[in-house]
Parts: sequence; C-alpha cells; structure tokens
Amino acid sequence: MLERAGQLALSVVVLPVLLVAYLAAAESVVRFLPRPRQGAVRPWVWVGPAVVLVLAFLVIPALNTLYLSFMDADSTRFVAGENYAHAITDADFLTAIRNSVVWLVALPALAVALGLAMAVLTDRVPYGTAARSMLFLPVAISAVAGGVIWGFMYDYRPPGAAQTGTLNALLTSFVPGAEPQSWLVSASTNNGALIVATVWMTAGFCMVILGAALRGIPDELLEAARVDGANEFHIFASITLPLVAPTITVVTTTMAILALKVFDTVYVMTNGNFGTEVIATIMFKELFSARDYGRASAVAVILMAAIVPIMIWNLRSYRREEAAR
Amino acid sequence: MRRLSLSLAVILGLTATACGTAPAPSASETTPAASGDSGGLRDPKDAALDAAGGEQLGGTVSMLGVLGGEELDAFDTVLAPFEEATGITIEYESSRDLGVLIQTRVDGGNPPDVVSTPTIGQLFDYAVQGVLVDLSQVLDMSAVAQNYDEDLMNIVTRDGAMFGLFNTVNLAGLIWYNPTTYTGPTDPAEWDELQSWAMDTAAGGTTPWCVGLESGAASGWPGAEFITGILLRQAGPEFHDQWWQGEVAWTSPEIKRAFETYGEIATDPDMVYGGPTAVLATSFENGADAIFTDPPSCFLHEQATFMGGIIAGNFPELEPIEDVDFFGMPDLSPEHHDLQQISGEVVAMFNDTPQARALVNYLATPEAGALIAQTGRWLSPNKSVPAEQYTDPFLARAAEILGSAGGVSYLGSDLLPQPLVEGFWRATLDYVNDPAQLDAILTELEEIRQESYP
Repeated sequence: MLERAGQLALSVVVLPVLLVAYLAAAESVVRFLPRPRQGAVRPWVWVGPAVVLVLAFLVIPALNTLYLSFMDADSTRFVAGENYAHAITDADFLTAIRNSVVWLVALPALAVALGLAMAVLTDRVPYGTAARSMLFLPVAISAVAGGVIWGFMYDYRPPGAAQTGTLNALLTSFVPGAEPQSWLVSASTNNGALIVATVWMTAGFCMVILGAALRGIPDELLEAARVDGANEFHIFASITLPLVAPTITVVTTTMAILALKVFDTVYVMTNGNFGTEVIATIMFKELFSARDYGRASAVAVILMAAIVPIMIWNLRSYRREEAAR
Repeated sequence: MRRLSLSLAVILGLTATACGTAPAPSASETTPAASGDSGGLRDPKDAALDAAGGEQLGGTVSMLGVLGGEELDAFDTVLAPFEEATGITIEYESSRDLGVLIQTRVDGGNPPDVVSTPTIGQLFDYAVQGVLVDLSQVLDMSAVAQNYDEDLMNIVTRDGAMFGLFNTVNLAGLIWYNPTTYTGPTDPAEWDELQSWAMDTAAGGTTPWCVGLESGAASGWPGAEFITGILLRQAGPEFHDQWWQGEVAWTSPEIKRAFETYGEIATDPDMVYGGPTAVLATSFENGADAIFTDPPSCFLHEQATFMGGIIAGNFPELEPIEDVDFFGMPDLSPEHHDLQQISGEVVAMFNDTPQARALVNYLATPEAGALIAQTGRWLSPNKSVPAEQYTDPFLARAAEILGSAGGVSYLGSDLLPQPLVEGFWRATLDYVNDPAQLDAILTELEEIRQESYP
C-alpha cells in the first residue's frame, strides 16, 4: 500500500517537476542561440518529451513485435514467415478472422444507428438530459462486469426447468411454444449475443458524441426548413444527417477499431469457445497459454495491419471535420 | 520418466481407522498417540505461531488460487487461526484462469508470494526454471517425510528440489446420486452394469445422467477429468502414466475410446439431461442440481469428493448419505480392477519472504491438516491428521473407497503441461459440441503435445 502511494507520488509530483525543469533548462540554452535558429530548434525542444515517450512506449515495442513475429516460440531462432503461415492456416485463426469481419460490420452499424436514434430522440424531449445520462451509464461499466451481467441475461436452462436467464424467461413466457435458446453456445446466436452485449456498452458513447454534433446545428437552419414546409423526416434526411455526417464517420471508425480489438467481453462470456474466437483472444492464448512469442507477435502484427488503415481514415475524417468548422 | 502409481496403502491417516477392515498401520510411527477428540493435536494458533518462528510477524502474503464462494469460505477457516496468531494477512486472489494469471504475473516479474493450484503440470516448468522456492529449505523435512506419502512427494519433487506442498486431496471419479430417487445399482462392479441401467432409464424417457462443463475460462475441466478417469480404467495405470508424461500420441485408439465412452453420456440427448446444449451451458457447480429437483430430471453425476460441499451449498436441506450419496467409478476393463484416482491442490512459493515461509510451514502442520479435514470438503494429505478429524460422512466414505482400492493414481489431466491442460479442456467442449470432429480434435491435441514437452 505504502509502496503504491510512493509510486503515485512519483508519477504526479516528481515527473511533472522533472518535465518543467527540463523545459526551463532547454529554454535557457535556446535563448543563447541566434534568433533565426531559435525558431527552428524551439519546437523540437517542446515536442521532444512526447516524441521520446511515443518512441519508447509505442514505436519501439511495435518494431520489436514485428521482429519477434519472425522468430520462434522463445525468440531464439529466425523462422521467416513460419508464424504467419501457421496463423493463416490455423482453423481457430480463420474462425477469428471471420468473426472479426462480422464484428467489424455489425458493431459500428448497430452502435452508431442506435446512438444516433437515441441522440435525435433525447434531443427533443424536456427530460432529455436525464434520459441521456441513463443511456450513458453502461459506458461507465467495465467490459468485464458488463460481460458478467450479460452472462446472466443469456443464462440457459433446459426446456421445462425454471428459466433464470432474463432473455429465456421472456422468450418462454411470452412466445407460446418457444424453446429456451442457449445464446452463448449455439453457433447461430453466440457471436450476435456477444455483439449485442458490446452494443449495450458502447451505444451510449456514440449517442453523446453524436448528440454534441446535433446541438451544433444552427436552429435558424431548422426554422427555415420548417417555414419552407419540410416535415421532420425531410429535415432529418436533408439537413441533420448531412451536417452530422463527418461526426458519424469518426464515431463509426472508432467503433470499427473497437470491434477489431475486442477482447474482454469475449474472454469473460465465452472465452472464445464454440466458434466465438476473435483476433485478440487468439493472441492472448498464443502468448499466455501456448507461450509462443513468435505466433502471438505474428497475430498482433496482423491485427495492427488491419487496424492501421481504419485509423488513418479516422484521422483524416477527423481533420476534415475540424477543417469544416 | 519415473513411473507413477501410488501404492497408497495409506495416503491418509484416516484410511486405516475409517475403513475397519484394513490393517492398521503402526500408529505410533505416523500419528501421535490419539488422546481425546483432538487426537493429540495442539491449538492451531500455537502451531501457527510456531510456524512463524514464535514471532508476531505481521505483514501480508499474496496468494493466488482457484477457490471462490463457499469453497473459499471453507478454506478461510483453515487460514483464520494463522492470521490471528501471527498477525499476517493473507490476500487470496481467486481466478478460474489461474494458469494464465500465474504466467502473466511471473512474466511481468510480479509473481504472487504463494500459489495454490490444482494443475500441477504447470509448476513442473517453473520448478525446472528455478523460479520456485525449494521447500526442502523451508520445511522441516524429517517431519515432511513422516507426514506425507512418498508417492505424493515424488510428484512435487524435481531434480531433488521440492517445489510444492500438497495442501488438499480429493478422491476423483465418484458417481453422485440421490438414494431416495435412484433405483439403479449402488455398487456396480462394472461400467456396463451401470450403463445398462442408464440405457433402460433413457429408453423409459428419463435422462439418467447430468453433466455441467461451464467454468469460466476453465470450462471443460470436469469433462477432461471424467475422460481421464475413463482412460485410467480402460487402458490401465501404465498407459495413463505414459500419457500424461507425453510418451503416447493423443491420436492413440485408447484415448479416442475414452472420449467415445464419455460421449455415450455427454453427447447423447437421451442419456444426459438437456442434451449436449445443457452440458455446455450448465455451470459445474450446478451440474448435479437436476438430481435433487422434484421430480428429478436425472439420477447420476460424476465429480470428485468436493461435490458434496457444493451440493450441500445448493440444497442445504439435504441430509448426507440419506439424500446424497456416491459410489466409486466402476471398472471399465476386467484387467484393471478397482482403480481410484486422486487430485488435489499444491501450494508453491515464488517469493521467499518470512511471511510466506510461515504460511507454508503452517500448512504442513497436522493442525492445519485437521482444519482442512474439518471443512468436510477436502481430505488432508497429511498422514498425521487423526481419523476423528473427519466428521464429514462423505469423506469417511471416500476414505473407505481409497483404503480398499486396488490401485491409486494421481489424476493425469492435472499433471499435463499447461498448453495441454487448456487444450484438453477445450477439446472436451468441442467434442461435446460436435462429436463428429473427434479425429480432428485429437490431431490438434497431438500437435500441442509435440510442442509442449521439453
């Protein structure tokens, strides 16, 4: 406990002090340079610490992962593309790729559609703020806790037994003749069940971001449209939607990245069993169960390669949105 | 590799007395003269203080294990006198994904002080790497030699170093039933005798068996243990030992047959309650529940001794022996008669702190063993725990079965290397989900075997 308090003190007091000391020292050196040179050097002085941190904690580990992905299980022997060959021929990995594509399409589509609907609807009622706060709550729940909660929702008991899972209880009481479903085991429902649980945990985030964009639309514009006789659907389709489109793109790509790197929900609810493996759970198993650093790194590199294009697109959309303001 | 078959004339002190017919071992040798109820044992708090070198050490011990809920409450009763006497706080962290958690903590340079794990195979690697503390430097080895069975000691000894201490022992492969509703054979000599009753029951429209495999990240383990029990009794102890030591292929016909024998129960909707779907979706803790509903939906459930405690937790109104009872798994082959299997938890030490030393020393005392016996959930591996400490009728019955066994083996599925342990659990789920894939599943396990042994 005391040790942790010490670490905390180090991070909140000592590091900022060091940083300020560094800047002060560097500035005093820069001041002695001839004036034209100062302008060239100063930006690097200020951006330096960030560059060092990104190098140390992002770039170098990423390059190291790339390097390890060409080595064997304990990183002692060069094996060229063997780890990648293993990955793309491994049945579990192919299942994971298939599932990740499903996640990639379904999670952003559902979360953004639901988030947009919630944002539009709560925008026009007097108790909107209260409703938004409630809808945002699941975002604050950790994915592990959310997984456990949804595990109870999806709980299955054989037909005839008392259904303790919310979904099966509803299904068997309100649909005559319906059999309980084992949502997390059956291959036809389990991936969908995991995605729905994740949508519940992320739609609130989409709602908040999209809600902010909605409130940025000038009232005069909407007034003018109404005066011109447009109905609410027209307004939504021709004014609201085009104006929040850049935000939708940013939120969608954020959700797409989340879908690709999803781990905790799957780990808690099915542990990748019954065909629910995703890329991150494969990486986890290669690393901690099989202790194969080569294969785990290869999977990590593949995951990174899949995410980077989306990330670039995300950044571009974000910049475009900023530029439009 | 050394052949492992526990002779276990007496692994546990209790077997001698609880099983009236077995010859009593020279009690003076292994147990202090029994005096009164305590059997010559001291107050556990005194034993704990001694284990800490007579000092109120204070501080903490971080401990990783698999116990949770009522099982952890039970284990806490063993730890309580130690914490009280020494002022040491034990921070028990529980996870069903223990193997992975230990691995991450060790790789991160932040191992717990102590682990207590049922999957001992994982510890073999650490023992070889030398990251575990050699307990022969921590414990009084003359007392250990006297109190622990030599075969059990062999399991936790590598290259002359003792890397773990057996803390609890279970008798695995028991068939649990409800005597008030079950009409089949209660002491079947052969598997077929039991299964023919089960098939008749299935033909009559009631499912005879109940199985539950869900256990979070460890899902599948109850099935893997059942299959291991079948394998031992079908293929014999010698094959079983070669198998966990990595000397036979997983694609061997013996292993396939063990899976298929298990599949006759777990993959057949007529034989198992709720069919394979319920097998996969039901938590192992609720695995036996349907035996005790009115009317029962099934009659038989396979699980180790600790299931008695779990059933009692789920149905507090049931009376042991009257409403809940078990018999040992019957023979599956005429050549291998009356074999039994034990499993357990081993305590291993990663950090050599005075507090961790005190804890391990305390757990090695007969006084701590007696408290384990008193939980009614586990047997103590400590032979100096007097038989009177086992007040639980299930444990007394387990001792009886162990005492008269034709041979005792350690549960091989817990001795496999970690990747195979997890692969086996998962293979069990995959097999129940789609029995047609058995060959592919075994081929995959065989690939893991080839990569998993040094």
